Amino acid sequence: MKKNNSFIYLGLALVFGIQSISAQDLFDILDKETPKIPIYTQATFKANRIVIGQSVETRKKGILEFNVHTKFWNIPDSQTQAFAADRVNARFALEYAISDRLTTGFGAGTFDGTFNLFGKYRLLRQRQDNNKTPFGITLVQSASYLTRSFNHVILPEDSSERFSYTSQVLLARKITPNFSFQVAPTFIHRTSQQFVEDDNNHFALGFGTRYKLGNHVSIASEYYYVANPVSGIHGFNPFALGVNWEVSDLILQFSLTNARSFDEATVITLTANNFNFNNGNLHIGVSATYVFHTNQKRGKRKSKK
Amino acid sequence: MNKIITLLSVLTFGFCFGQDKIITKQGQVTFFSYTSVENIEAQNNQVFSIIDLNNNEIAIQMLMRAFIFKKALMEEHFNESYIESDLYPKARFKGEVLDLDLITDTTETRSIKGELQIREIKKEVAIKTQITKVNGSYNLSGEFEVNIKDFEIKVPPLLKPNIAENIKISFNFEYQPYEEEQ
Repeated sequence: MKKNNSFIYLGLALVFGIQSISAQDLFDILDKETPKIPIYTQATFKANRIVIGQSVETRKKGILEFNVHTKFWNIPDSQTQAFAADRVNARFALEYAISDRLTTGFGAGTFDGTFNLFGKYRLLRQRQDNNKTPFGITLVQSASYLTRSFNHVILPEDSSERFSYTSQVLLARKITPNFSFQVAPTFIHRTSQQFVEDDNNHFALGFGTRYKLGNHVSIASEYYYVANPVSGIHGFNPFALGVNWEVSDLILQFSLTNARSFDEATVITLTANNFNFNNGNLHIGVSATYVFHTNQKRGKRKSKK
Repeated sequence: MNKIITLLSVLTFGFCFGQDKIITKQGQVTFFSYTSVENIEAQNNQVFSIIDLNNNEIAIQMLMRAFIFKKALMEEHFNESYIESDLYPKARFKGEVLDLDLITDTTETRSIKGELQIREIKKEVAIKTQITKVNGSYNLSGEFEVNIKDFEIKVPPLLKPNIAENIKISFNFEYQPYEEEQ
């Protein structure tokens, strides 16, 4: 019995020895020694916005984005001699990332005179090294303030009725390296009493996608379904189709949409025409985003311990 | 008694095979792209490498996502548009350090011949390296160049002036004896 035991030990020793000589590939050892650090999915979308609405993305700490969004459209049957297009709306905005998870920004539109302030917080980040976190969640809160009448929207006299508040929960998943999808349950509260027969609280559901055509070009689309739209001429659901092109610190987007404004509350609840190719309904958008890196500490060589 | 002897032999076996490999888990790899328009630099401090001292075989492995750039957006572009780390997360090297065992305590130059694998594309390379023997282990450092075309990294025409065709890569590995977990 004793002898048997020692034979077993000897056999074990041989087996172990042989295994550690030949079968153990060096890469197997490296794989075994590599700690499991979380790898978060990046570039679900390429900017703070998909086309008309917010995306799940937040910027990395210290990034300052300067945005210029423009939209051009015609007035049906107009006799105007305006250059290129009858109407133009431009939004200028600055967006700053306080931390990797928190981005804030403000901007103003020239045509509708809407001031908009927002903050978004990345609650959950999708991970690509395992399936434990299959999607990302970002919370968005924004406030819009009207400063003038436009498109049959009359500026309320009482300034407390000029605000609109938008709350969103953005859920997004980068399904393949080329395809991302976002669902955005949205709640909007308008303080304006202009449309007395309509609700002041609106529920909407947004859908956004990005498809990567090449390493620097992608197409994006976005649609918001409003459950209780305002009646009359304003209650159309916004849709947008865009092409993104990125080079270095610049992101350009060309889009087709039926929305005239840029802030979420106005776009989702007060879009005055549907998406079609009729004269006056199709809006051409051109957006440019320039990214400044203000975080000087990043990427500094770490001294060896 | 027999039992103890065999047990001892098991332990010695294990110990021996643990000792003939050296490893680093915090190797550094830095790459530089110098052009007249822009200098780009990124560093990876989590490079894993192991050397089998029995046959001088060396293996290096790193995650492309672990490269840190000064500009966060550049890091995203690197992963998303050039290296495509979603599809090809690792870079690997496997080769042989020539005449490693003849090194004395001074720093000597040796050649490493092997296969570099980036984006699943393999290429034979020979790299000159400075090797110092420290307490039975070794430190390796050196630099070499890779051509981005060899690994089918495409640069859009507009950005050709910003990204060098030959990327300089420098490395520094300080190895420790590898002890296998039993």
